[in-house]
Amino acid sequence: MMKCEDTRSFVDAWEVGEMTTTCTPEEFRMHLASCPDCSRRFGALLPLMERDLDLAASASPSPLPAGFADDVMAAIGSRGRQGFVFSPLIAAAAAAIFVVGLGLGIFFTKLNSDIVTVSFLLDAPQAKSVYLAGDFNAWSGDGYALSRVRPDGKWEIKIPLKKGKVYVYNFVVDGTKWIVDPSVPAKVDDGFGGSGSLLRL
Amino acid sequence: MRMRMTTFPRAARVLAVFALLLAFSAPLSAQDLAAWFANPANQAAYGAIAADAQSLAATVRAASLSDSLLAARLEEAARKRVPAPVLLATLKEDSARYLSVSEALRDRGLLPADAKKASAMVEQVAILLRGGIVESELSAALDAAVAKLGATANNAAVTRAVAALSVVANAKAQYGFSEENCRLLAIALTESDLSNKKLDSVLDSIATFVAQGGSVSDALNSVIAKISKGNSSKVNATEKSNAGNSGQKQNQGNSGEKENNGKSGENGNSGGKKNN
Repeated sequence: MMKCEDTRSFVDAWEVGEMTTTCTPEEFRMHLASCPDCSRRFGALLPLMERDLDLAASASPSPLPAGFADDVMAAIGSRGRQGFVFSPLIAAAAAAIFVVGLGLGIFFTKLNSDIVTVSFLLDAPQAKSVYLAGDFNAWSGDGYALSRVRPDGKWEIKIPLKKGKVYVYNFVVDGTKWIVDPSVPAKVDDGFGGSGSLLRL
Repeated sequence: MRMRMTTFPRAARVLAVFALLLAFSAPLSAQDLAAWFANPANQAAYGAIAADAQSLAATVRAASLSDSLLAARLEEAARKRVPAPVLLATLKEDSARYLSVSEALRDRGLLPADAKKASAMVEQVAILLRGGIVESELSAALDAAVAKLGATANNAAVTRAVAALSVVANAKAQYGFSEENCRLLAIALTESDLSNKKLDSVLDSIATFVAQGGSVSDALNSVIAKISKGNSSKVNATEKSNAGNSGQKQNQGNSGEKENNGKSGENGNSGGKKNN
């Protein structure tokens, strides 16, 4: 039989959403019917509690058939472990595809590139230094020093230039002598009393 | 109260920085000449002609070209330690040349609206004029290029004409062809089915023809007939055939000139060997 002090804990539990206490809702209703004091205090709550009880009853899942859990576990066990397995073979194939793709990408990029490497050569046995200066480097030989590639005085430098353009250039020998490329017939008047060599790529 | 920070994606931030750089760099590029003269070393050597140079730059800019064209020539002169009066005289010639070229391109609908692109195009053509190409040859090549490729927004026609004229400049330097024959060669090259990078093969053909004992004029006739559609071009056989004179003999004997020795590579007009 529910006591008055139990009604307070029952209401507290209901307020926080817990309907499972030592008392049942039916006992709570019967107590209110027999106790005017508790009825006055909690009677207004009774319809709300009954509504919640109805909702809880409709939301409660229907009971599972017997042996359902065993059936599910048996089915899982029979299928074995599923999912993506990153085997060494797949990893090797992926790596190979990546390397081949990268190589092809570089190859075709280079093939279609507008940039071409040009080798400039000069025979200057007596020269102590040779620089390449042209409109492609704002006529500054800095960073464009030719290297002596043979003891007999052959100098060379290789630089990347854009295709589809004409260029003008000079060799600067020993820092002061601006000369044309003797292997190039076409000369460009520089307007300053000298000439440059014409290069088209 | 906490302020919520607005976060932009990385790409948006990169774009914003790029836009700012572009905004600040544009005015600088329009003042290339002023910046060049602002350099103390340049000011000391060429300050005396700064006002005149600025005046020339103004005429270049008025033609929708960048004064970077003149700035590049200033830099070349400074590197070559050219005296200021000589430089000024050359700048005047250059300015007139740039205006003339831009007019020739504009008349044919070939000059881009963008000043930077237009300037680059004008500079390319101007180099060829300084390399011995004359106005009649330039006009012939441009007209032929427009007829072949059309005056489209891209610079295909100009690129074609420049490629052809660079070959003509080399041929003229090697063999001393007359202006008329150079004009015909320019037209034939421009109209031919040869790709731009194959145009230099004509120099090979001429050299081979001459090496086998043919005259230079016959070589030119042969080449033009070979590359011309319908074999319509006729060349005045008035060229000097004195292979022992001028650069032509020298170049035939000069391994640096012959393309087939592999030294000058595809372009054939340079000691530069292309390593593709």
